Amino acid sequence: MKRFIKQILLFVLIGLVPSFIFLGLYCLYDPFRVIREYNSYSNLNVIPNRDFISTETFLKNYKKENYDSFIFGSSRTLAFRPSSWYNYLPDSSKPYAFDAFSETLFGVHGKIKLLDSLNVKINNCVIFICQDNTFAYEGDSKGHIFIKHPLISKTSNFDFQFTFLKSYFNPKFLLSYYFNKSTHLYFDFMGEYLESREILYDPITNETLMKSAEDLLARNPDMYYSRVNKYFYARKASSNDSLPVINRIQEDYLKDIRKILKKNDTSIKIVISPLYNQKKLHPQDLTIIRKIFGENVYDFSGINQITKSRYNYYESSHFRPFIGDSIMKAIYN
Amino acid sequence: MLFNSIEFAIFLPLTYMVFWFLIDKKLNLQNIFLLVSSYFFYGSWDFRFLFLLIFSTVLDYFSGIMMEKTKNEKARKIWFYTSVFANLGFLGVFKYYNFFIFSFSTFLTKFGFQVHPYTISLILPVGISFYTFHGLSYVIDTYNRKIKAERNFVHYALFVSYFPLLVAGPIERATHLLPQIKIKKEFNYQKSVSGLKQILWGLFKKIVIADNCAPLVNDIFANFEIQNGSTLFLGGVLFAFQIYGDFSGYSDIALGSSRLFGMELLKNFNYPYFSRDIAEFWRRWHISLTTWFRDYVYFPLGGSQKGIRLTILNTFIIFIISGVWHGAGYNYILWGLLNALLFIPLMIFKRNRTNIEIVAINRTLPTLKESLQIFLTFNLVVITWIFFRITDISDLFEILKKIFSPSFFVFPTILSSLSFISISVFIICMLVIEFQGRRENFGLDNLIFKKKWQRWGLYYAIILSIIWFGGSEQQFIYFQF
Repeated sequence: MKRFIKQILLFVLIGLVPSFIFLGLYCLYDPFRVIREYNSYSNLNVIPNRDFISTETFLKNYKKENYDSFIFGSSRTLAFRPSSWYNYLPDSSKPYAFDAFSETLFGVHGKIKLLDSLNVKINNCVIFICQDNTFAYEGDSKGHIFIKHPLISKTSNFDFQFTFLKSYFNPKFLLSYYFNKSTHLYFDFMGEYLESREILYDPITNETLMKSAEDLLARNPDMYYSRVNKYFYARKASSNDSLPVINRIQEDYLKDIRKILKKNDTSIKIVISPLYNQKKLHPQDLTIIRKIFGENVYDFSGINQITKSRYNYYESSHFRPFIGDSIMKAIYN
Repeated sequence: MLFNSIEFAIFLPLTYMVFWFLIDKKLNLQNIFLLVSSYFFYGSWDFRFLFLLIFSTVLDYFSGIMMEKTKNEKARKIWFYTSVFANLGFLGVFKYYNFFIFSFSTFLTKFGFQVHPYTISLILPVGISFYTFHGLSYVIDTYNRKIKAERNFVHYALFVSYFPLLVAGPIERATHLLPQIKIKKEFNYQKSVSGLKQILWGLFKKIVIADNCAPLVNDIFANFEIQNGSTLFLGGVLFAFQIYGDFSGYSDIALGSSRLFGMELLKNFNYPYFSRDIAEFWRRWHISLTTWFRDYVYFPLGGSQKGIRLTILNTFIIFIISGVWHGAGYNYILWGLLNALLFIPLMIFKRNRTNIEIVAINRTLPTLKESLQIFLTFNLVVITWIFFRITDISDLFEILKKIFSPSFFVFPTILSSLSFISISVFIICMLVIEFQGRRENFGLDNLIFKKKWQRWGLYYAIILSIIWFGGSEQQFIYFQF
């Protein structure tokens, strides 16, 4: 019996040595920026969890900054900049970009509930709806990049942290992260985890700036688009129709959002994003949204002036800030 | 509490430690502790079904004693049939009631009768098909005076409810397990090591093989309309490995867990995909169920002793019952029928016992002829698995039409997907390990690596592949049966 226990302990110990070393390095480097507090999340070399950053930045500043205007939506809302939005809001307004990667309605609902529970007054809000992401899940999103902050999803802190730890111990991540860290070289296979672009996040408004992309676009737009050309897939006119995506649970989320915003007497704008895929939000879904939010719904999906030109996009997913500005102009005038 | 869950990962070592460190004193204490642990294990699914399990156990226990005690043949028969009908009754109500009532009403509708069947909404108690068969084998053997009725209730209850075999087998026999329950368990180093290795191998087959095949299989068959024949056939191949990884993986965990407590369970799988014909496949697949049907259905019907016609009829009966045992659905009946059709020609030409030993028993590799036989048998098995996998009969015929069409020769797009490539690598690894260990109890038993660091290196690699490449599907397929 003693021999058996000794062998088991030895086997476990030997197996755990590399794990403990990597665990120690994880605590030391905090690659996903989820263990400790940070003053800035700009220029990270690991793709972060935007939901966590947005929520943490908000929690850190909301008492001091008294935010009262919020932009909700996916990373595509980076085009809708708080600094530009400010021009359309009352002077005393304090806008905040409360976005998350591949934001879902579950996430938007969770964030609005959080604001409500913290007694934060919501005077203005813009909710960006993306036909492909917003209604993808009824609950928490999957994967360390998309999983919601525990305060938003109401899941345990342990589950949240464990998701990151699991991703960290993925061999592909370990290889990408430590190879890049030691050599500063970047290869395509690292793209799943590492960020090669320079991206800045404003520590107060949480506004996103695609610094390296904007710099190159200002300097040499042709070079920029020749580099990202591979991301712009061919679109077929026949595949613009989409299926209805809003289910009963999501309809209830929309109603609850409306209820909270009505209580706040919020000025609401719902924007259906102009996606590069040119898919039109299904009329049935649009009717549901309009029934709940009335006439403040602005549909930019499908084939239109924005979606026609690839030059309105950074790549096939994110539209550029000047498009955000023109949407702002359209919905406020 | 699934074998591949965190709960079981806590439950098993705890039970093991208490068993060997705290109560390793007396036989009765050992068995009482295992029985309580087994009831806790079963109750963790749904404690209400514990009452059904205990009721079935008590009934069979008393039936056994009464059948032995009474001198009156009529009274013996009454006890026997009460027990058999009660067991089959539970199974019938929980598993087959809705299927039969629907089938009957459909049948009547064809003759112009309008029937509104009364269906009941029931959850199938976990493991009912398995523990019912444990009980039945005991009652039948006692009635036939093959074994003596067990007088110690704890011993009998543990035989029915022993946690490693309770929810998905192997379907044990009183003649095999009860004698082991009745002797004091002594710690054995080799058995404990072997048990752990078998658990590890079972986890690999379940979590890495089965759970990674599952999403690909689900995707292929959910969208079969847009797939070509070759992709659908590959879906069948992946399902063959999914169900093997799932069920033989489960059985390995069950056998390994039981060995940790000093008890050997019946071997359930014996490398079925290395079979050279369908008859050999059925001697190597779900052995405890196949032999159960052989001993309690096929032999009492006359087996192969009453002429070729009756033998063929009995074979059909046993395969159809086997299909129905798996589930209340026409696809399972068709699956059973197809297997019977593949099996019977071998029997008629007396080729069903040609391949008894495992392939290349005294050689490193099989001959070319044996390799071709294995390949052909596996492809036939894949076709039968498609019957098993598809629940809607009209879908099944559509799929078969596509497989047996020129689109079978179109390059399957799935071949270039990363998930298919990675699961293929793992399947090849599994097959290599199982082939080198084909003469042993399980793949990792008695590895060719003789040096400790090599063996441990392989164990670490398996553990890491479970952690890193484990799929997301959790439920065991055979739990539904």
